[in-house]
Amino acid sequence: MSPLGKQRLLGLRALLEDAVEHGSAAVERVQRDTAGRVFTVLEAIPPVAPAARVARDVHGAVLAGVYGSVRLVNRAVGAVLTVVIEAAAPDDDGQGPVTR
Amino acid sequence: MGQKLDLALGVLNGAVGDYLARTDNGLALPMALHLRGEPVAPTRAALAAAYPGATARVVVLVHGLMNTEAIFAMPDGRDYGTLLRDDLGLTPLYVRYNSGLPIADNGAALSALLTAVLAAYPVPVAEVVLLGYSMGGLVVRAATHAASVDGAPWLALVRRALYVGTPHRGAPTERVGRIVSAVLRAIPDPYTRLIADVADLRSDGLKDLGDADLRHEDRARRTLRVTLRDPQHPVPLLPSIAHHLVAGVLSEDRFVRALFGDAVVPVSSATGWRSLGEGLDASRVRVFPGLSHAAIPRSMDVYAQLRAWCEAA
Repeated sequence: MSPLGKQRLLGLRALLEDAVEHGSAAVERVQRDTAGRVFTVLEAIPPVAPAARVARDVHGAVLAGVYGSVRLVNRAVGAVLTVVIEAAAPDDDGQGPVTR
Repeated sequence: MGQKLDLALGVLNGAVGDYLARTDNGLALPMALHLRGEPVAPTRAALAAAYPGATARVVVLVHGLMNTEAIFAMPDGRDYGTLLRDDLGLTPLYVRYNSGLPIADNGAALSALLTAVLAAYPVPVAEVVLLGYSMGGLVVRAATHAASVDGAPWLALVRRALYVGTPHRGAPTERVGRIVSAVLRAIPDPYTRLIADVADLRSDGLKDLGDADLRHEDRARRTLRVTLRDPQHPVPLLPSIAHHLVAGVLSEDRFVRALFGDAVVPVSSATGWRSLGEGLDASRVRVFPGLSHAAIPRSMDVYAQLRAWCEAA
């Protein structure tokens, strides 16, 4: 097998995409949980509770938007890389792509 | 570049190889014989081309966690396999595999590979010597266990098994890591849980080292204890094979010897023959002072002992 044949390049692409996907989800969860503690305290104080609930919803929406965008771009880049690797990388038997 | 890439893939497979295999990732290493860095298919034509001087006695070398067969290479290019070939006429067969998979899976795969290889080998095989380094020794044991259960024909050809720095009694560091991960997960804090999540990404193969689990049913009995789960290993050494154990120690000091062993495997784990069943005695266990875990798979002192064992009747 060629050291960096098509299958391995596709595997590397998939691994990096998985790392960004799962990593961003983990960081998003930590950020949501950490902020959630503050919101939970604030929501227990009657005068600020309504505003705190709104802030929690806005914060959650922003988080979902930001990290969702990261994952969307990640998938798009992964899809483009797949096309490039399929077209340009040598096959795993060491032969280059067929060009006409 | 090829060898560096192979080493990187070996490390990657040891760390997250179970994930790579589960997701059908092209970076996952399939188990196969390798010669000079290239895979050798278990077919008559490929084996005849790869081993033109094939002899009736073979030695199967199995590397450890996060390694490839390059771990056996000495600075001058020789290794235990080529030395045994030159001195005793054994043909070396180097196995490369995904060390992140469960040891039970790698054992079954090794058994299947040996069945296929020996059926297509250029000359009739009279004797098989198994040589496992570190986790490779556990894979060898899992393979012999799988072969004994399945009645694989190659098992009858195995005269002896050589274990070099193999954690027969598990790896305490993995058992401690398991506990630390569980404690971090139990703390109601998102950051400690994140650290536990990252720690738990380590591969199934690595987790199996904790109690030297060779079967799936043993993996299911995993406990959160620093001490070993089973005083006697649940899979004893096969009595039909002569087993030989080699361990390294960084120092003769009792404390260093007991606690650190060769810096990775404690001596009590590498030489825990009393817990491995009948058929072993002190003459088949050798401890080498001054040899670390990284040095023990390529030491001329160790080789001299391995050769002496292989020469014995």
